[in-house]
Amino acid sequence: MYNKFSEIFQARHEYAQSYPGGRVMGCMCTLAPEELIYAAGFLPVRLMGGHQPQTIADPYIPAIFCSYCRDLLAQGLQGRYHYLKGLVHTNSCEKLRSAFESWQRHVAGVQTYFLWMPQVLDHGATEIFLSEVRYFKEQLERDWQVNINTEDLMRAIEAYNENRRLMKRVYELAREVPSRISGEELMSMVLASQVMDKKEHNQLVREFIKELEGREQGEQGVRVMIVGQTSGDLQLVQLLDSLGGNVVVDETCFGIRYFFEEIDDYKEDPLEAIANRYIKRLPCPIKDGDIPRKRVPFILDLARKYQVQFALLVYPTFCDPHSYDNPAIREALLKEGIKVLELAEDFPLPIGQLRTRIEATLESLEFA
Amino acid sequence: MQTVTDKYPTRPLEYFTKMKELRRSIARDTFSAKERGKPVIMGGEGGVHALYAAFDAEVIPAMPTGRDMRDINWVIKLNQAAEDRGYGKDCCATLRIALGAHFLGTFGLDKTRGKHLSPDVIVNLIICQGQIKSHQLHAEYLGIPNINIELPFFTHSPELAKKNFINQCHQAVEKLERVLGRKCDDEKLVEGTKRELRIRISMAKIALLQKTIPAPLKLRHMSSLMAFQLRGVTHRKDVADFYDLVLEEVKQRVSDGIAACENEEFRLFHEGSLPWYTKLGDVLRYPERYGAVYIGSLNNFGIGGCFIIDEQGCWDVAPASWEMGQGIKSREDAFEALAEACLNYSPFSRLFMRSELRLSAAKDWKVDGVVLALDRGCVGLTSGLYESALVIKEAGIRATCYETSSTYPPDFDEKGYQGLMDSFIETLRTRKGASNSHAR
Ligand code: SF4
Ligand code: SF4
Repeated sequence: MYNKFSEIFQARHEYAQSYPGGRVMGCMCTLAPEELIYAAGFLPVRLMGGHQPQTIADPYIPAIFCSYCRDLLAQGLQGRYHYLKGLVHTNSCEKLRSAFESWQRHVAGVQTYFLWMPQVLDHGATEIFLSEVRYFKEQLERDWQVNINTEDLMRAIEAYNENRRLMKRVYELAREVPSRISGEELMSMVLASQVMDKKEHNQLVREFIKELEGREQGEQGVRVMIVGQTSGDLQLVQLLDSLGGNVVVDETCFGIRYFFEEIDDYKEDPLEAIANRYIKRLPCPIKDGDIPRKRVPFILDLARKYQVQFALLVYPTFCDPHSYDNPAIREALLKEGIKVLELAEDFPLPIGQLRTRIEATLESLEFA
Repeated sequence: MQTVTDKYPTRPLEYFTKMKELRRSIARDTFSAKERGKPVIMGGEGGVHALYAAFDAEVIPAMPTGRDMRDINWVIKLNQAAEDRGYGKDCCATLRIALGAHFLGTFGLDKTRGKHLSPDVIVNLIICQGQIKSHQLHAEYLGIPNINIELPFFTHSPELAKKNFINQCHQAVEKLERVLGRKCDDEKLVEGTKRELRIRISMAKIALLQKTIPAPLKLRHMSSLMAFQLRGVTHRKDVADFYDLVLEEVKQRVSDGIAACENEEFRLFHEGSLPWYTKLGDVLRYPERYGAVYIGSLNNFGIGGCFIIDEQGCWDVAPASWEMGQGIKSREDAFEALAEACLNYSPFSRLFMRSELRLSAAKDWKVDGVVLALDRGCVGLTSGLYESALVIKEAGIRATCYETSSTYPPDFDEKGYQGLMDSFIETLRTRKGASNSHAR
């Protein structure tokens, strides 16, 4: 077991606080143009679920809002992210925007940035988002007295692109049957990528790949895919590993959606290339509002390529965007002969209950 | 608790008869669309209905209408049908109802003739995430194309937002021409736009008359006027004329000192969504037993009307030149005016300012308290309500929240709501008593 990703991920607050120069910027969603933040000399860190009671958020966000956005706000109010210099949010779902707004209003000492991205992602969307990205650059330069030049942007893009290629290589390796990679290794690699300096992470992924190439194939576990939104969570994957399920791929906001596409053609206008990448990347449910859908065929394609036997549709309780998509995803996967279990997660995770439900499904597959 | 006696004269609203006639004629026109060779667009909600006029189309509403919602048991069945197919309570409540109607075969059903009307295309002005996902599902279910026009609620540059909105309108025209196989009639587009603006202006003027003490209308009346906007028919001449008539009647009521509620003692706003099923009247009427009357909300004024708000937080109607639709002569002008209506003059569009605007409205309309409904199935109107409650309370105006669902009756705890209102109004009374004795 390669533990470095998991260890860094668990110690992410300490890692961020020791970042040289102390410039750390929180990102609420995978739609934040991180390359630009990185080029400005910041460490972009994705805010992860804290899995603690969220009562402190009660006066600001009602309990009928998703547990993930309540969790993020609760952590802000508790001072868990006291080291953040800035917080950036690109418009995704309205509940998360509410959490961002409450953060703006009630968490002191953080410079906040909001970028509008439409839900309808046709060609007009790129123009409006590009303009927002350009303005964000100006704001960063003004607020932090930095000059972000083309070379800085290109270097950042290259580090990010390399990170994407390396992680894709690991995902490729997970296609092997049986896979040599545990679910925890796979998911902690992507989670760590979202809280680490990319160059350092690239180094670790290279080391990890080397180790994997020399590793014996493991035992055949039930091949699992996680779909949806795990709130930046390792507990679920650890549980699956312990029960004989092997997460070989995912389609989640904390996994593949974070890194799947590289930035192309960036030499002429890096900012335009960045904006394009975020507009054209794999959509989350909020951005997949047109017909024909994009998510369902993509998930199906992954399920086939990875020979998935069991799909977990995970989302935080009261998350409407995922609730709209799940019936169509479930139907498509069931038709493919894949077992499906839908889990609306509450925080803290009710591990006992989850164990029983997952165990029952895994057993039915093992004895099938 | 102490009840109150009548303080003001009141009289029935005369426009009601006309409103009923109008509803009937809209329904007749909609259901006879195909016989008259007209395309049918599924749409409604926030605006840009002038596009329907431009294609001489009838509109079938994407949102549930009063017709579907009258029978509570039926509403529960519609929800159940959606739930059976996997669309649980976290999904937008109106979607669940509309999907339920597809599944139970009553969507687009003309009950008088037993025939179904199928739309050719969906066109919608998007104000919330629930709508986009809902329309995706409708389009898939009905096998028809879907055109979304999204309001860019928050960008660093208002000009950019406007340009983006106008581009989306042009794209919508191109798509509609392709889908419907007919040309956009620019003259009709211009006429439709002028009517849509006229209605927004009338709505704003009616809302401003609500500042009068006693208020000439109740929120219930304001909501029934809004229903024409949600129904997607503000491009129609008869609807625009109807709003003029309403405005005249409300002005008359104000000059005659006629109250909507004869014992108005406390003025309330109700923010968030209201029940779509028959409980609407009960929810809104309940506080009246104590002389508390709901007179409006940011949602109601902000989505339906066109305002300018000055630095002191005083609301007024959008500028007069614009009100007359002056200068709207071409497609470009029409889209420009619609963009201004939806982005510059609709307070609802100021995404990060809604709490402050709720407060400014509460002050400007001299309300004593604000009641905020947290609708489990509606993200669009529920987000930011707690923040609004805090801002309002900090400014010294009482505010309270209750959980509910606008379309799923079992999620509305009527007794709980009544208990909340009993004590809320009691505190308003105590506070008023205290400040009166202070004044003396
Ligand atoms: S997409 Fe779902 S999980 Fe994510 S913030 Fe929105 S409601 Fe919450
Ligand atoms: S405003 Fe509420 S009910 Fe309407 S579409 Fe949006 S989420 Fe659904």
